[in-house]
Amino acid sequence: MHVLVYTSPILDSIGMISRVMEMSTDITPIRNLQSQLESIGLLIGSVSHGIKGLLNGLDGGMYLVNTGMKKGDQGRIQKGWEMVERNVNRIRSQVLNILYYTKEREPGYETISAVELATDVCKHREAKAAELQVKFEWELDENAGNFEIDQAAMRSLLVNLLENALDACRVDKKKTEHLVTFRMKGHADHVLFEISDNGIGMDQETREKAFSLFFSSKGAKGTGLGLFISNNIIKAHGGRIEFESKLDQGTRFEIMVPRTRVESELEETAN
Amino acid sequence: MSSDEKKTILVVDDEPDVQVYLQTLLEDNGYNVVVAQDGVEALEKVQESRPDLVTLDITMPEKSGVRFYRDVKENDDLKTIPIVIVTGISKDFEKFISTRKQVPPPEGYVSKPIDREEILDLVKKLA
Repeated sequence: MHVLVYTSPILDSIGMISRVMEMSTDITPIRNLQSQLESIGLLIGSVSHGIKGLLNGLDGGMYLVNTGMKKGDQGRIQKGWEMVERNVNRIRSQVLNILYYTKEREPGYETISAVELATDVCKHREAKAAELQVKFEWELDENAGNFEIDQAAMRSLLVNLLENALDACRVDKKKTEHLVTFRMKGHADHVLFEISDNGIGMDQETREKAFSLFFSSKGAKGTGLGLFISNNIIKAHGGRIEFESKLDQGTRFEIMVPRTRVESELEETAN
Repeated sequence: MSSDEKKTILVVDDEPDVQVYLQTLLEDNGYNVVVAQDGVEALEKVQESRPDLVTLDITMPEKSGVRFYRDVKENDDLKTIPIVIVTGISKDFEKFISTRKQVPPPEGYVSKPIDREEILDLVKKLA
């Protein structure tokens, strides 16, 4: 609790301080509002930087398409168009992240098949991996069964991690062959996802701040929302998200999601 | 313009889209372009190809852009090569400048999204 205290001396007839009046005000709501405003300021700053980077990518794509058309250079047009597509997709995921961050939403739990969700996510990024010439393998446990989750949130989390893995390979020019692996396995009380890549990896600072709000290793290309939100989604599901990463070698994320929603687990423990 | 009259520009950026964009733009305007994706590679290439100018993104992993800048400007052999900083984060740039008092300021600065005229004018003037 934040309290603001005002004091005022009360003087007697000869001008000496005989008492002190103290007024305490609970300013917790004001402090909360201030920290929310600060977050909004940071968000706007971070989003603006992100937009600058994305605009630059779109500008570049447009330049290649326009000059390619003038020169009749099909290869250049295609390269430029891929840049446009890539940056439009990034804008889409950034906007979704921002909406997720700014809107306090109640998780909508439903029971769904783990293998169906995982297949859907992998198929969603299959074409992108091929375009980037990254080998993409997935190993899914057909007998993983169902789990009770917020499907939209979990899907966006897995897509986000896959995007990061592909991005880490895309910007890595030190290796000639890149591989992203997606694994999913059903256990008695949880479902385990594993996403690994042999891309650029993270340096120490990035590893330490990976889940921090507004921290991004992508410079002007990221908003610092993706992993922060992923972490919150997992926490809301009562699961855990962990990773190991080495610079220039790659990154491996492990996500554990309980089969049943947190509340019911807590009730069971209480009983 | 014959190829040996062409000036060489080293483009340093970790983002492939920016590399392709700057490389195409500069080549279209008659420059030879060499690309590096981080500070370590950039230092190798700056010694190998002796460019007439370097465009440098300072927001790369491992602070390698900043380190590259300092290495070049502290090297008697390389310090005359003009460096144009290209970045989307002006706050980082200011911080970078304020902590680099012992080395001279960069010859130019361009903010992202890149204004084509601006960067071409600057390169023409400095290279």
